[in-house]
Amino acid sequence: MSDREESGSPEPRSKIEEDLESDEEVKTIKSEEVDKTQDNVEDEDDEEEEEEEEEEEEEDDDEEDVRQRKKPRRERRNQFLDVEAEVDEDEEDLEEDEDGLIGEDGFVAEPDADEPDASDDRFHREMDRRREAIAEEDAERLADEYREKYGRSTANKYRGDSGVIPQHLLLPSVNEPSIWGIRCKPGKEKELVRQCLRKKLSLQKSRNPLEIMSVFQRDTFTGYIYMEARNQQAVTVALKGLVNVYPQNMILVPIKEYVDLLRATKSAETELVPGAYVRLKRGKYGGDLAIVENLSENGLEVRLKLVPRLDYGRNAEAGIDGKRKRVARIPPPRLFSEQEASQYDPRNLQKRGPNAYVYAGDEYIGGFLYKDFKITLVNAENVAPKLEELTRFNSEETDGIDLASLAQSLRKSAAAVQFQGGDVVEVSEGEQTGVQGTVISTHGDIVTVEATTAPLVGKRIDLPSRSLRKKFAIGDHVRVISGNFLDDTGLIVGLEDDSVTLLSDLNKKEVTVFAKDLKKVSDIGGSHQVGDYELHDFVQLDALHVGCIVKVERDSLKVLDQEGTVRSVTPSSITMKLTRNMEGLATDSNGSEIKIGDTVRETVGEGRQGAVLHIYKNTLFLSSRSLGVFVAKAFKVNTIVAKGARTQSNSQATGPDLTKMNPAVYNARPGQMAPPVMPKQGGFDRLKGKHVAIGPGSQHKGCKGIVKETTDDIARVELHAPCKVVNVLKHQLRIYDDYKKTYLSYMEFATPRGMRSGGGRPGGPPGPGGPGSGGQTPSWGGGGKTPSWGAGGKTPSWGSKTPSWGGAKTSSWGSRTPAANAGGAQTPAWGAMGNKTPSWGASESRTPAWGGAKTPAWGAAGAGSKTPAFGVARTPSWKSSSAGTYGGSSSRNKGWEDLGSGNSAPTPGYAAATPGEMMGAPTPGAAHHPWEDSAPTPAAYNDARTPGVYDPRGSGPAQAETPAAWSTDDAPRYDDSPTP
Amino acid sequence: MSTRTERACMLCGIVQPLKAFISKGCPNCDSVLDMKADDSLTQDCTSPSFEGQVALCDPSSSWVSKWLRIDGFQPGLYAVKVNGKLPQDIVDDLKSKGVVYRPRDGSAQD
Repeated sequence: MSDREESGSPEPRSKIEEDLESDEEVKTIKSEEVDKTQDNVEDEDDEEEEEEEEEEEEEDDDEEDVRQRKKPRRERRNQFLDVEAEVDEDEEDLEEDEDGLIGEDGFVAEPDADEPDASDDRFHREMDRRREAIAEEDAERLADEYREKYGRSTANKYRGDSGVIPQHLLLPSVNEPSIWGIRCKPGKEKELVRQCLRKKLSLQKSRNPLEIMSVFQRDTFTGYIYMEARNQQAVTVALKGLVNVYPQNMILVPIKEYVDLLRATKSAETELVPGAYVRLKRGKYGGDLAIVENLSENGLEVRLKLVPRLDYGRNAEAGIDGKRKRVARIPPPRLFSEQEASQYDPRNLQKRGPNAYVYAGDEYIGGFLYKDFKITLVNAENVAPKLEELTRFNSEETDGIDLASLAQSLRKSAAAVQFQGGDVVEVSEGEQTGVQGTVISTHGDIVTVEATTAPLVGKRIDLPSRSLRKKFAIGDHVRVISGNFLDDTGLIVGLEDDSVTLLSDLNKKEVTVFAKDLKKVSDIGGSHQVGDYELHDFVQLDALHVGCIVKVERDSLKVLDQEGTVRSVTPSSITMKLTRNMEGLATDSNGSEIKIGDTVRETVGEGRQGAVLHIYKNTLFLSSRSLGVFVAKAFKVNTIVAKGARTQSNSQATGPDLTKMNPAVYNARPGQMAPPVMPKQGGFDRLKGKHVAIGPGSQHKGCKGIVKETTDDIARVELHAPCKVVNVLKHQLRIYDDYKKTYLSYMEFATPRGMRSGGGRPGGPPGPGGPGSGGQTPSWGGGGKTPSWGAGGKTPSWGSKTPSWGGAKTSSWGSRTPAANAGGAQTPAWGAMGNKTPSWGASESRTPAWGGAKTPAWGAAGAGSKTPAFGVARTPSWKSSSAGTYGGSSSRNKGWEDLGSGNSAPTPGYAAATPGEMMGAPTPGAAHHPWEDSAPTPAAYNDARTPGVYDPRGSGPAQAETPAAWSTDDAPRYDDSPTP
Repeated sequence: MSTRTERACMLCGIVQPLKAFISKGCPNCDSVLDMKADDSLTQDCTSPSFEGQVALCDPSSSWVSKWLRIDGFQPGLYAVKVNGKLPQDIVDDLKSKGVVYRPRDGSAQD
């Protein structure tokens, strides 16, 4: 036993002795103690046996403590055991000395005589000791025996294998115990394995020991523990009572998969060599590329060279505890800057040499961080360094990229080579090195090759795929099938061992790749896509430039901008991709609208012709088969073919009547304010994104949804309930108004607020309808506007109106009624038109005007191009709605409307006025109407502008009375005349 | 490094706390690798990085133990894979004792 134990021995003993001396009843105590000690010894021995057998349970703290407690006890026992004879006697002598019975035998009798009890005691004690000694000897012998029998390590041979048996001889046979995979709670695997071990050990000596051979887990198979046993029953028993394990999900692992379960895959990290590229798994530098600088001796730590991510404590102020800031934001990688460090955080900076610093405990050399990382933090697989990362490592001193190590890191990441029948291969290792052949077939990893070189010609050999490499010849056209240059194609221009240099078809650059990544092909390849960008996409380059992608290279794009210059950009430098609805509109040299897809031809220059790809302001991106993509100005091209057969409206060809497009021109009338203009909704339709309900007329009536897209008159509505997008006419929509919390009709919605309150648009469009128009008027407020415009007393109309104000609403209605009657319910306008027909038919001369069309409508609406159609179509609903909504104003309108119809009364004369005239003199009111002069109100203006429309009214019999009404002009009359 | 951290013996693969290695040595390798009370040797010969825990219950009849070459060892907790290698001098020393060191980090090939 050890020295320590010996030297420690006397103390407890003498303590006992002292106890004995001091107390009379010691004896009993002592014997008890001896017994106890003996028990202890036995216990200890038992324990030892047990320990010897059950080895090394895993130790929790408690167990640790127990162990520590045990140790001193054992030592005490050892005192008794080992040094009994001499020490004991010595001590006894000593005691005697102390007692004053100093070593003289002569005296011994005396005390004997004097105190027989005392001597008795001694004998007793001696006997006890002897007995004890024998017992302990026994125990020791026993312990020795046991140790010999079950002896463990000490002085014991190492029982590990000699390492001579190759692993494949250890492959499992059918006689091996089965392995069951048992589902468990992920993350609890290790705990369960330990629990199983504990359970096994604690039940070892019981009547029902667990019959399991081993339990294990692998980090790669989460949610499973594996148990090795002869039968499933044993597994079930072993798992009984354990939590987090689900024995009902038990899988018997096939024997051939045993090995995979226990494969100690040589992880890449241990293969790390200085210079290799790796990535860190987590932490501040997680995901960052690093270069292995060195490896620690035991291969557990690795020194990496990194581009530091430092903010030099600038964000440290954020929190008092330094911890929190770390989560905040990781600074971008930048080389260490001594200047910044000394500026912001000089306290943490130490200089170690030229260009070498220690900053905040880390070492920086040449701007790079050199730091030790645990190897488990390092990932050497699938590193795939990116060029930009590599360039970051390229400081002045290091020239270029270490291609060798790059190649190595790439090779590691590459998957197994794939061979296909017909591939020409060369054997690169093994006995047949150098033999060339053609691949006949592949079977998993085994490739059958028909040799084509000398000694083996025509013979078929089976070879593992790793010992083959593809063989190419200069001039072969190949495609890259994996790696960074994936999908590139090119001609081989150079060969060297494993690497092949090819001239890329895409960018005419030489790229060097591994032969295994190549495949012979005949097509010319490359994708038409880089990231989100495809060929011919329209992209925003910067604030001023847009462009069309004209060429897609592997990581860059060639973009033709609106100035006609081609620039090479990386996908990341593109601001955004422009979608079709973000593109503008343009008109050609004739003023007709150009749309995407139209074919146009330049009117000047080379007269190039192409299909419109994109429109940007007045720049067109055209593509043609022969010329590729080019840029032309919209006003220098003529439309050749319009997509979707848009008809040219006029014989004069060319597009819309521009005079009507410009309200400034169109509405320029002396003393008259232009009617408010509803902006043509060019770029953005307000309707988009609105919540709508679909109103009557549509098959989706009653559905609600959100408007996704719109055209002029159709909205695409994403329905809430049946999840789909449907097309609905806009006017069938009822739009939810966020402010009013109600649904508005489309017209209400489409009409700008200001106009609505005033009564809406100029009544013009309805004008054509005559009385019909009268019907519309209130809602359109063409009339409604008038009073305000009319500037009061300016007009007789005022005066004339007054009666109607006076409450002769009815009369006004009345006045209109005939018109409505005439036209039938919904179509007073039409009706009116019907009335008009004769005149229509009669005067050809007018037709163009009408075809010109919409003209009245145009004029009237001022802006709303579609209005006429609208107005006509919906008149009834309008009426009703307007009546409801604009109670107040409608009364006025009506009054006015009377006035309007009154107005019309005189117009028959107008009808005579040809449209041409009208057009020529946009202020016909002034010219023709005596009345107009005094009242340049829109009403008048209406009249003036819509001669064609008017005349029907004039001719229509129904109107006959109106003039009367008008001419008389006073309330009573009104009352009288129309109501019947 | 905390003494409570578990480490795996690089020679036999047994997993126990560093403390246990220092106080009692490796239960399997004591005869050839006396780590007891030798802190630095323990550090050298055990690895804190290991994967795949095996509760070895019945070494003699288990195939797992055979495959992992731990069938001669004490029942206990072992690692399938122990990262790191023994230092060369220790390997040489073991060799002289007739013990073949087979790294348990997966690099052993045959």
